[in-house]
Amino acid sequence: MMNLLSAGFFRLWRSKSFWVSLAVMAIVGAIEPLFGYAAMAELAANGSMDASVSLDSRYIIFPFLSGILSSAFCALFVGAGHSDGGIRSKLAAGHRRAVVYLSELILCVTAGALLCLGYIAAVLATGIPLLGPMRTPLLTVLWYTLCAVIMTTAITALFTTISILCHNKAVAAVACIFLAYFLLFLGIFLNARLAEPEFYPAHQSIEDGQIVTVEARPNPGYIRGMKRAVYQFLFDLPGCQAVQLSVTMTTGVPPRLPLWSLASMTMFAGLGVALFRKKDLK
Amino acid sequence: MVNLLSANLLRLRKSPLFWEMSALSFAFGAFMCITRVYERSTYGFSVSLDSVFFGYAMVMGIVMATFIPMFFGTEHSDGTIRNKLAIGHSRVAIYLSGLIVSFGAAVTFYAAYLLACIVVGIPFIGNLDLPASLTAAALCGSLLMAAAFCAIFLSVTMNQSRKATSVVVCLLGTFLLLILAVVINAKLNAPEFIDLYSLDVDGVCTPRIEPNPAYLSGMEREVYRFLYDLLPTGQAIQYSNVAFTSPIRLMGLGAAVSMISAAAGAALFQRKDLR
Repeated sequence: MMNLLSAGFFRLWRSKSFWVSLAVMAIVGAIEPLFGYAAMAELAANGSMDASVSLDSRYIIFPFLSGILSSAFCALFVGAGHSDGGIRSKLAAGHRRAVVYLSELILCVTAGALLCLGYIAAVLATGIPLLGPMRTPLLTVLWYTLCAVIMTTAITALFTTISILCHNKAVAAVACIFLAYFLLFLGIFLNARLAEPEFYPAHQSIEDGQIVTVEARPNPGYIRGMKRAVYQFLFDLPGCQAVQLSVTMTTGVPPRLPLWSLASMTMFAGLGVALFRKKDLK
Repeated sequence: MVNLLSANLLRLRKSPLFWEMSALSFAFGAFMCITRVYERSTYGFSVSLDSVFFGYAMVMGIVMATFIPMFFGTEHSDGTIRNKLAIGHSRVAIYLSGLIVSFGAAVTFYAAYLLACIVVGIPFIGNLDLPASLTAAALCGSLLMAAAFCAIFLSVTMNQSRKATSVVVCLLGTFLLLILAVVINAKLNAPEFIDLYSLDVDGVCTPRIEPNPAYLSGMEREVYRFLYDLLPTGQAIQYSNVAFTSPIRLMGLGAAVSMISAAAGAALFQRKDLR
């Protein structure tokens, strides 16, 4: 295992896909506060009453990006092991399939966490001088960061499993990228449906210069019962979870989310080992 | 050139990916129509075929970003391009035949979607309510937009020997351009004025209008408008909603993007080391 990890980290260090992914994360992290600063300056120039832009709104983006970039990275990095015959060589050298799979998983999970750190370092380096410190308490931000990194590692485990089980690198790339975007859009959809109020509150509106009071009424689109439980379960899964993390950052991420991520990662790893043992490596 | 086209078309006909994507396009069209019928029966919305007929424009970029690198990337990995060069075909002819076949595939996918809209949509939703001139403009424009996507993705695929890298670049690039177009659209749609109300001590409500600080005006608005019209993903949003003000300008920009991308791709392919 140690030999495999040592060789793997050397391969990771020399991997173009890793450095390109890390560079994209760092560039986006550095640019986001610049956009925020430009928006702030524009609002101030236009005489807006609240022209401030918080660093928090720029910081929360990284779980979305890390999920998408790790999908491409895992497919290319693990797929190279298939196309170059690296996986067969490792097996021929006497390593067990479970150990080969777990070493790839550890490498990809580490890369996923490094991608997050690349964004965080860049956004803080340019964001604090331009937009000032974050408004959310430090402990809440640290908890959010930990949960987001755990979610990234969980989704990276899923992409690693797909990539190691799919012999064709291009097909694995398509599957992983589509899955990453599907989970993200599913998360946005579920957030919108679950956030709908059970009742529309009483409110006042103006019609022809007169104040009209509209009574409270139930929302027919409100999801309840078993359907709500299923939606909530899907919303807690890694990938969709990125949306929930961003929504709950300032109020504190629920502890069940990292627990779900860890459980998902364990499940993907177990499934990956079981399927990889039976895979025909040609 | 004719031989190259004939060989590419034969390979296209035998490609499982091509048939799967055609079937998926048809299924997508049927799904969109059924969704509208469901919305009408569940929520009582009034639905029209207009809202789904050009919906494929929105996914055209993603479909072609998957199909072109998977289909033409094989030519690199299997050494087919080298074989074609070895028997005397020019690089420009190889590139052009690829471009024509990829556009043909895009038209087939679009036709499969439209067929589903006609077969499923017309009986359950009704006919198109759009004027014939607008329908023709949207159809021609979305085909030019498809040509622009084909030219861009083919230039990436033919100049990148690794199929998986082409797939990643095309797919991530398309999603990035799609998000960019959505952001530009949101900025352009910001209202010029905001309605505000003030309530005085006597309970009298007075409406007032204030300029929206987020509204784009002057040169800045023109630049955003130009980018929105230039980007194939921006065009995709406009065609899918059949919400465009100047079809000639959109078609012109679509044709320009197609020609520039094809010319740049072919020029780079001329110099490419095929190993």
